Amino acid sequence: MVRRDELSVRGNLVESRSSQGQAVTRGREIVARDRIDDAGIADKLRLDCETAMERARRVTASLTNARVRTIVTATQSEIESAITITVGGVSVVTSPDDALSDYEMLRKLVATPSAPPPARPMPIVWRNGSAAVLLHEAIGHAAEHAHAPLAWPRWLRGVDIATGGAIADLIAGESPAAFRRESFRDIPLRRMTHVRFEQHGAPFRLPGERIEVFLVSGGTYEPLSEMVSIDVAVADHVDGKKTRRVAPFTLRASRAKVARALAGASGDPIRYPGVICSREGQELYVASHAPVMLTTELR
Amino acid sequence: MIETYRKWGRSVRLEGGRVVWVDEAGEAIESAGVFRTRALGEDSNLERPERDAIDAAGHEIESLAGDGLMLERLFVSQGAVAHRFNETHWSESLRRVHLSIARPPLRAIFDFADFQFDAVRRAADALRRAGKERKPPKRMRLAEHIGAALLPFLPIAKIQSPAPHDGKGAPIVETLAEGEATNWFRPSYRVRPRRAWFHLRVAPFGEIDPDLPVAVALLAPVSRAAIQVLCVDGRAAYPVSMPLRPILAAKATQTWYPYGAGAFGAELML
Repeated sequence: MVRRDELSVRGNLVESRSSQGQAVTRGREIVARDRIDDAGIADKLRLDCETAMERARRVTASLTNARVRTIVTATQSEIESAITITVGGVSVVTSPDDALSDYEMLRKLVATPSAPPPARPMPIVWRNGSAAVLLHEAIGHAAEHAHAPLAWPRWLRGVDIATGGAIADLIAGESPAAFRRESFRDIPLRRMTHVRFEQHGAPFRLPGERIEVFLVSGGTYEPLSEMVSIDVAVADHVDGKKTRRVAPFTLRASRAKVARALAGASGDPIRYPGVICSREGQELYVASHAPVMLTTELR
Repeated sequence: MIETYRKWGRSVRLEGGRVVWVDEAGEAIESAGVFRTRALGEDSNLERPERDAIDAAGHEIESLAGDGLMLERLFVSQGAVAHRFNETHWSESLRRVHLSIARPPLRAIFDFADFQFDAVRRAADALRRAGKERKPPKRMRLAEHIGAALLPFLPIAKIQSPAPHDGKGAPIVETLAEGEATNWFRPSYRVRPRRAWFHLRVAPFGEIDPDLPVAVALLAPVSRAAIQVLCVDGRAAYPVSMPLRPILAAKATQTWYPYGAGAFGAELML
């Protein structure tokens, strides 16, 4: 594994990290060190990593009003580039291909809230693919922990696609196929790689009064209590023709309640720009797609 | 000014049922506001850590779970580290333990810098018989490991204890920990150093009533606002959630805990 990690603030480089290493597994033992024994592999990974980082630098050079953190990881199986762009305290996580369009979306979405968080529970429309985060927590992490599947709506499909193409049916409770690790020092864990939720023939009727979620800043799944928590960063309160941006708020519900609250969905899956998943201290990028979805009151 | 820090480390740890050996060295250079780190890939002359001690610690912790309790997380490590900041060299040996023992939905969490687990034994016994959450008692005691975790957040007199080196090789002097910290904390060569108070010790005051209910384990990480703890009151054991109250008495202990840049045990009454 070879990794470059760079942080720029308003166009100025402030932090730069490079690391490399290998882990050799023998039975229960892992021997990790910051040197790659095979010089040919090491040279190739360094070149792959530097080439991908140079491309990311070119893409993000124009983002001089943002905080930009780029992490490129090259392994023998893949090269992954994850770019976190933060404007006004709100972040998206994206790729070199989508960085500029996601930055423009973020600039348009970040606005001073004009209303407090909703004082009472109300239906939520999860726009912009943001339902992927809710279901990543309620279905994906539950599957990682081998928790029993729940009765999700028949119109919902949800899979995790590992690098290499192995597919796990998350709705059926199958664990992700891939073992992933943040660095050569870490132990590999079954982790999600690319979660994709789809709807097939779901109902969808917009309530007159609702919350519309566009971006979330975090989510957790508590494996002991099976509670899901979602920190909503950008959302609107819509009441008829009146729309107001609301202050950030947190939703908490059991995954069973999330399952009961799924009331509808519409359209094809939308790429959600932003899931860095943290488990056992290891932070990994997880690609995420979900259609526009509707939940009834969750709090 | 250019600051150059180098670190060499060898460690062995138990994690997730695996034994992980790590051998690495790295460099951090701070110049003109830019912080850069890189792996050195150098051999060190540090001794290879012994695996026996972490195996024994792991077995002891595993023996405390069972009988209705689940060992949810176990991380036991031991290692040797050498540092160089500009022309100053120093070295140290480290032990760390992070574990959580659960009886769903309750989870007791612990962090130690040595392989002594009396606090876990006591909490495991209470966790087995814990009932439903209750209102916090009017007054209660906090065990020393809970007080250590809280110390950085508490608005009471604390003393920085002396030590030979901070993250920039400078001596750490004994002083009242108030205002801006004078020393630099560097938990890894990959992390930009920050100012921090080291090896905090509570300045003792008041008298702790030994007959009060006592919190024996944290049930969630501490915050400035509130704590969730497992409380023992005679034969009863129950979870309690409460905002942080004024501290009525405090007593320092000799055990060092790996919270922030270090904190000594603090028995508290609140």
